[in-house]
Amino acid sequence: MVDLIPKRARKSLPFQSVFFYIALAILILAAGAYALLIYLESQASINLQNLEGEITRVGTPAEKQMERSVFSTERKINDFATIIEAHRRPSQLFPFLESVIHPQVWMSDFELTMEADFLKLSGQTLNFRTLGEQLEVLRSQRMIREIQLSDLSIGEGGQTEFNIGLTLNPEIFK
Amino acid sequence: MSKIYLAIAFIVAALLVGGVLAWPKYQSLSTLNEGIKAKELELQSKTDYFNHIRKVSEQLEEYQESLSKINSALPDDALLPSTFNYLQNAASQAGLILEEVAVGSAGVFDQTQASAAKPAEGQIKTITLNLSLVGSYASLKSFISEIENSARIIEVRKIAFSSPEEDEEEDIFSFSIDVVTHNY
Repeated sequence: MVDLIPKRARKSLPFQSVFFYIALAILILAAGAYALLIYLESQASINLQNLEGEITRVGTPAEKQMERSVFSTERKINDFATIIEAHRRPSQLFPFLESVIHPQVWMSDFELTMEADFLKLSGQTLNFRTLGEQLEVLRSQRMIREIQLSDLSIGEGGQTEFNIGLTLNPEIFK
Repeated sequence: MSKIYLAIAFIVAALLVGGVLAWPKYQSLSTLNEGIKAKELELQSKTDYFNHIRKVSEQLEEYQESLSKINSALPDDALLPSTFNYLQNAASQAGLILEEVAVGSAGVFDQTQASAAKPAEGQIKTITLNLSLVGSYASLKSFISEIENSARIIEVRKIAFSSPEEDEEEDIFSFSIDVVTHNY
C-alpha cells in the first residue's frame, strides 16, 4: 500500500553531532601531534648531530698538544719532587766522623755504601784501651745503629789494627 | 552514514594514529632528547676540561724559570758529555784530578734504590758512573758537597778510598766514587 502521508526526514540527535565533532577534533589533534612529533624528532636529530660535531671540535690538535705538555710537566714536577725527597747528602758524614774519631785512632780505609747505609773502616790505634774508648764513643752516637768489630790484630809495631763496620742511621744523610 | 558511525571511525583512527604512529615517535623523541642531554653534558665537561688545561698551561708559563731548572735536573736524555764535563769541572774546582769516568749500569729509578730493570716509556732512567779521582781529603769533601748541590741531580752511591802508601805523597788519596744520574 502506498504511503501517502509524507514522513519527516529523521534528524540526528544533538548529542550525535557533538560526539561527531569531538571525535573529529580528537582525530585532528592526533594527526597534529604526530606531525609535531615528526618535526621535533627531526629537530632533535639535527641538534644531536650538531652537538656531536661540537664535541669532535673540542680538543683540537693544538689543545691536545697543550694537554700533553701540561701532563708531561706535571709528571716531571712529581718525579723531581720524588727524587729530591730521596736525595741524600753523604757529605754530612765527614764532619760527623771527624767529631767521633778518637785523636789516637788512624783510619786507613774508608768504604761507604749508601744503599745499605753501611760504612766500613779499617784503622789502627795505639792499644786496646784506645780502641775501647773509640768503640764507647761510637756506641753513644744516635747516628750509628750497629757496630761490627772484626779482624782485630796486633801490627808489627805493636799497634792495634782493626776493621769496623758501622750501620748508620739514614737521618745522617738528610 | 550516520554521524555516530563516523565519530566512532574518527575515534578509532585517532587511536591508531596515536598508538601506532605518535607513541613510537614520542618514545624515539624522548630517547633523542636523553641523548642530547648526555651530549650536552659531555660537551660541557670537555669544554671545562680544556679550559682548565689552558689555565694550568698559562699558570705554568709563569714558572718557566723553575721549570727550566727541573728540566736541567731531569733532562730528556742522559747528556753524558755535559755530565762528564760538569764532573771534571767540579773535581778541578775542588782540587781533585778526575782520572777516569766509566759508565756503569743503567737502570730505573725507584724511591728506594735504582733497580736494573728495563725502563718503560716515561720512567726515570738512571745511569751509574764510576769516577776515579786523586786528591786530598779536604778536596773530596768539597767535591761531594758540590755534586750534592748540582743543578743536575746526582746521587752518590759509593765512596771508597785508602790512605796513601808510605812511599806516596802524604795527603794524596785515590778515590773511587759511584754516582747516579737521572734522565727520561
